[in-house]
This record gives sequence, structure tokens and C-alpha cells, in this order.
Amino acid sequence: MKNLKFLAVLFFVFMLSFLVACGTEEETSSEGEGAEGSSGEESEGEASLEGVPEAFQSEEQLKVMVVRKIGGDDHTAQYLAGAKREGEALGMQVDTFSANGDTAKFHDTINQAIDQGYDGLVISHGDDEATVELVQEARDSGIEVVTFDSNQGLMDVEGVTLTSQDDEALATLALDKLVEEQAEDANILYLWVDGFPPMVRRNAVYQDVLEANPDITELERFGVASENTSVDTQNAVASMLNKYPEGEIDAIFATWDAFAIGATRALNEANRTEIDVYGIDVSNADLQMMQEEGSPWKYTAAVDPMLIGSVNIRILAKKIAEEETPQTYDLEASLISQEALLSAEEEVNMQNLVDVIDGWGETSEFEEDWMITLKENN
Amino acid sequence: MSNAVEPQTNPTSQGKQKKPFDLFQFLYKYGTIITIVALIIIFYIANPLFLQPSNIINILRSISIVTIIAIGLTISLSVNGFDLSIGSVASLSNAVVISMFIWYSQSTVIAISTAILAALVIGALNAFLIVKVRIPDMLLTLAMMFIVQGIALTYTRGATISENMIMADGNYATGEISNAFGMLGKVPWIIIIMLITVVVVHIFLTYTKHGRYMYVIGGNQEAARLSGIPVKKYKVIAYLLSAFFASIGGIVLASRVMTAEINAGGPYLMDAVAAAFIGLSVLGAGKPNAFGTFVGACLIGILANGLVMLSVPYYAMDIVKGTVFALALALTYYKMK
Repeated sequence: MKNLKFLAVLFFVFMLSFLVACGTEEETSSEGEGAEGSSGEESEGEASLEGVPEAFQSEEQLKVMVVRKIGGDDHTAQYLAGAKREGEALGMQVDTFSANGDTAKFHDTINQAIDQGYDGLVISHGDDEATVELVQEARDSGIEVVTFDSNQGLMDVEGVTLTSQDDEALATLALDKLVEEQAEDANILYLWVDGFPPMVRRNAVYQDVLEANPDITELERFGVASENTSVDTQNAVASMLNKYPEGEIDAIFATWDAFAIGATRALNEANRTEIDVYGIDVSNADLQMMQEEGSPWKYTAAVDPMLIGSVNIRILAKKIAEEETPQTYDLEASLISQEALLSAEEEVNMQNLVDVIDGWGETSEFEEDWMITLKENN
Repeated sequence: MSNAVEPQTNPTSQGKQKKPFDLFQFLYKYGTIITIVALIIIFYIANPLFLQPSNIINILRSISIVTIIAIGLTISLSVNGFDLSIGSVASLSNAVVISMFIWYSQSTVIAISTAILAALVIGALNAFLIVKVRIPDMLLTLAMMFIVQGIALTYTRGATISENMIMADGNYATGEISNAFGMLGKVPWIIIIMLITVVVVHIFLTYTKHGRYMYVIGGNQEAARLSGIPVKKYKVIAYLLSAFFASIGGIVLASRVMTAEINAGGPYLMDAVAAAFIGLSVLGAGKPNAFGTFVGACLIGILANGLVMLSVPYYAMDIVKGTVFALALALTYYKMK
């Protein structure tokens, strides 16, 4: 009994100290970052910060938050990392959050960010109506907002910039290649899921292309967005391959890289790599898969997710600096081909993709001179 | 503070005795609440904005849906049952209520009653298969979870239902969600609905004959049967109520997000289970109870909010969340063995 009691006390003390440690650790680390940023600015002195807007020169560090509704995929991780890197380079504190597809949690976090008085917010994938109200609320409390792939209703909220991947261009790049390379009467599988604005836009292009090429036949379509989309897709494509024996399918159009991954795995498994995959979006894992020997994944159209994050932050920084920003901005898309990847001397990943694809991952859009000054100083 | 009084209990060395201060008993009763208070203090020190009224409202709003769904689970736990289908039932109700507005342009009353009715059908089916066919509750509701999830998905054809959506025939959906319905998911109504649910169910379970019968059944089903309690009837009621509250949760969720996304209620299952089990020990109840469940949900909400406030990376949040739950549960079960 005595021993047990002692244990319990120990346990209790441990629990409290754990919680305290947790708290203080986070606290000090965030303070540390803060101190670093501001001292950096101070030590450089005013002179070298010429032309930098006042908001970025003040003692108090600017705080921005990036809130994304979807999560669990590489695109999210890279997007958030890109935003964080760019924001910190500009001397801001950047907090990132992914709600993993839980809309209510997403709203809770935006509410919280409004309350905590962040200077700016980047909202990603806020495709529901309620997000519009929240953004209005944020604007009313003087918070600058940039959105990515979100509800079009945000057009009505004053002072918000809506950015998106150029989905029309993404779909067109991939589909034009498909039409060009495949036979006129190609039979294809279509992997697509309804209900997300970018998907709706991609589907519109697809329907136009089908109309323009009446001989192309869509044999089957499939698409779910779940917590393990790629495995679900893999299983579905595998059964479609059983249904249509060799020679009956020419190509697969995958409107999302999670679909393309599943399809590629299924084709590899079934040894049906004569079928070509045309995808949209890219990540490190995707590039790896495209470079595997005999990989059926021939093309993918994409915008660098890290770049999207940085451009979003740049636009936000311009807003905080009270400079003019456009209401909408489409990020440019490029087509990555397996051929180009394989022609490179070394393994291509997201870092050195820029050497293979012209214009990848680099843009001077919205990068003002004062931002470059700031980056040099930080 | 605990250390100072601890030696007093040693001479008696009888843990179960009530009179002297018993650390176990104390931790058992107040462990969850101490955890919550400790978290609040830590978060407050880290960022004083944590305790400003609007943030407290944020926390209450964020836990309201989980709490309502968890209350339903609490009722099924009170008869020693377990309802795993609540998350799917919430998704289904969410889909039905939104589709009634957007696809069929129905009034608020019809939309809500249809959604509840659909849920009650599931609840009745659960109850029938558990009580009559005698499938173990955990297994049956697991199967039902998949079935209902599938029904909800099939009903929406795997798509998100939202205003002005493109229908299968190529036209735009013209229905609109009524403003009155939109209010349900807004402060203060969403919080009021949660509080009413907690209070009503707490009174029902603790102070009415029916609630006490349910606890008796949960304690010892055979004894309850022998003492003349209609066990089957109460089990049926428990599963109906469980589905009912899951449905209310789904409807409030629908009003909050104004769309029906696929499997929207799914994530609430695990949080509801956590809230209900953490609630077991609150104030020494030792049994599933509505107030305890509410406290459990508060713990979840405070953690989620505070971790964002501390700028913990989003990918590391679940580690802290799970650890705190394990500690809170350890306080309960260490005693119970």
C-alpha cells in the first residue's frame, strides 16, 4: 500500500512536471525565435533597411498564420514549409496549421487566429461558404488575408487576394499531351473526385477535351478523397485492369497525384505498364515514382507547392506593408515529363527539379526590392 | 500539496476507508479537473490571450459538436453498451439535412425532422440486432458504422453537397439553406444547445427512474432483469437516444459548415470516445455520466486550442493530445484495478 501511494505521488509529480515542461519549452522556443528576428534587425541598424516598410522595421515581430483545411499529403507539407521559409526570411513569425480535412476544426483555428491578433492570415482550401464569413470577420478586425484554392465568394470580401493554381492550365497541359500522344480512338480511365473547386475546374477542361475529341472513350471513372486515397485508388484501378484485358486501355488521366500514385502502383503490380498515366500535381515521392524503371507515369502537370506558399506570403507581406495587391492571382503551371527527368544526370527531386524544368520553383512575382533587403538582413 | 498530507494516510493504510485523506481517492475524483486547471494555467502563462472571453467562446464552440455526440455515446455506455456508429450517423444526418435544403428546397422543420428520423431508423436497427439477434454491441455497431458511412456516401454520390452545386443532370441546385438553420451553428446557439443537452441528459441519467434503471442494467444486467426492470426496453431506448444525439451533432455540424462533406462526422467518433471515457472518473462518479463527458470534452477542446496558441507544429499535436489522455485515463484506471 505504502509503495503504491509513493508511486502515485511520483506519478502525479511526473505528470505535472511533464505538462509544465511542455509549456515552458514551447514558450522559450517561440521567444527564442522572436528575439533572434528582432535582434537581427536591430543590429543591422536603420541605414541598411532603407525602403523597407515601417511595419517590417518595428520592434514587435509580425505574426502571421497559415491555416490549411486539407492535410496528410506531401503537397500540404511542402506548401506550409514554403510559406514558413519565406515568412521567416522576411523576419515574421509564421505559425502553420493543417486541419486534416476537418472543417469545424479549420474554422476553430481561424477563429482563434482572429482572436489572437495575428497580423495576417493565409487561408488554404477554405472551399466552404462559412469560410467567407470568417474571412470577413478577420478583415473587420484589421487582419490581412490571402487565400489559396478557396471559395469564390471571397471575391466579395474587400481587400482579400484569391490565389489559385491555374487549374485550367494544369488540366490542359496534361490532356493536350494525352491527346497528342495517344491514338485518336484511345480508351481511357478517368480518376477524379467531385466537390472540390480545383477538381470542378479540372473536370470542366476534361469535358471540353472529350467533346473536341469524340473518338476518345472514357471506359470507367473512379475517385474518392479519403484518408488513404492512393491505396483506395490502387485497389479500384487493379479491379478495372481485370475487367479490361491487355490492349483495351490506352491511358489513365489522374486529376490528382494521389490518384496517379495509386494508378501507377496498380499498373506496376499487374504488369500493365503499357498503359500511360497522365497526372496533375507533384511531390518528391511522385518524382521518385516517375523515375523508376519502366514507370507508366509519363507526365505530370504541376505548380511548385513551396512556391505557392512563398508567393502567398509575399502577397500577404505586401498587404501588411500597405502596398497594392491584385484581387486574384493564378500561379503558373509547368509540365514535367518522365523523359526530361530521366535525361538528367542525377536523381531528380523537388530541389533540383529547377535544373530540369525551366522556370520551376522560381519566380520574382511580388518579390519587391525591400523584401530582398530584408532577406539579406535577416 | 499532496505530499504534505500524504503521511497522514499511512498509519491507517487502508486505501478504501473514506475518513482520512486518501490520495488515490483524491486523484481519482479530481485528477481530470486538476489536469484541466494545470493546462489552463500553463496556457495562460504562455499566452494571456488564452483566457480572454472570445477565446473561451472559441473553445466552447469547438467542443459543442463533440460533446453532443459524446453524450449519446454516454447513454449507450450507461447500459454497458457501446455505439461505434455515432460518427457515421452524424455524417448521414449532416448529408440528409443539407440535401433537404439544397436538393429538395424543404423547410427547416422538415429538413431537421427527416435527418433525425433517418438516424432513429439506424438506432432502431442497432437496437434490434443487439437486443433480439444478440450480436455483441461493439461488433455490430462497427459493422453499422461502415454501412451508414456507405449509405451517406451513396446518398451524396461521393460528392460534397453545397449551395449552387452542379447536379447529375447538369443543372445547378437551386435550394438554399434557411437562415434560421444557419443560426444553430453560430454562437450563442451552438453552445446553448450543447449545455441544454448536457443538463437534460445529466438529470435524466442521475435523477430519474429511467436513468437509474439504465445504470442498474449497466452494472449487472442479470440482477436488473431479476428485479423486474425491462432490460430490453431500456437497451432499445439507449441505442435510440445514442443515434438521436449523434444526429443532433450532425445537424449542428451541418449548420456550422453549411455543406455536407463526405464522412464529415467520422473524426468525431474517436474524440467522443475519449471524452466519455475521461468523464468516467470525474468527481468520482465511476460510471458514464453526462457532466463527466462534458469535462472530458473540455479537456480535448482546451488542449486543441492551447496547442495552437503555443504554436506547436500541427504534425506534433496528436502526440501531446494522446499523452495527456493517457495520463487522465491512468488516474482513473490505476485506482480501479
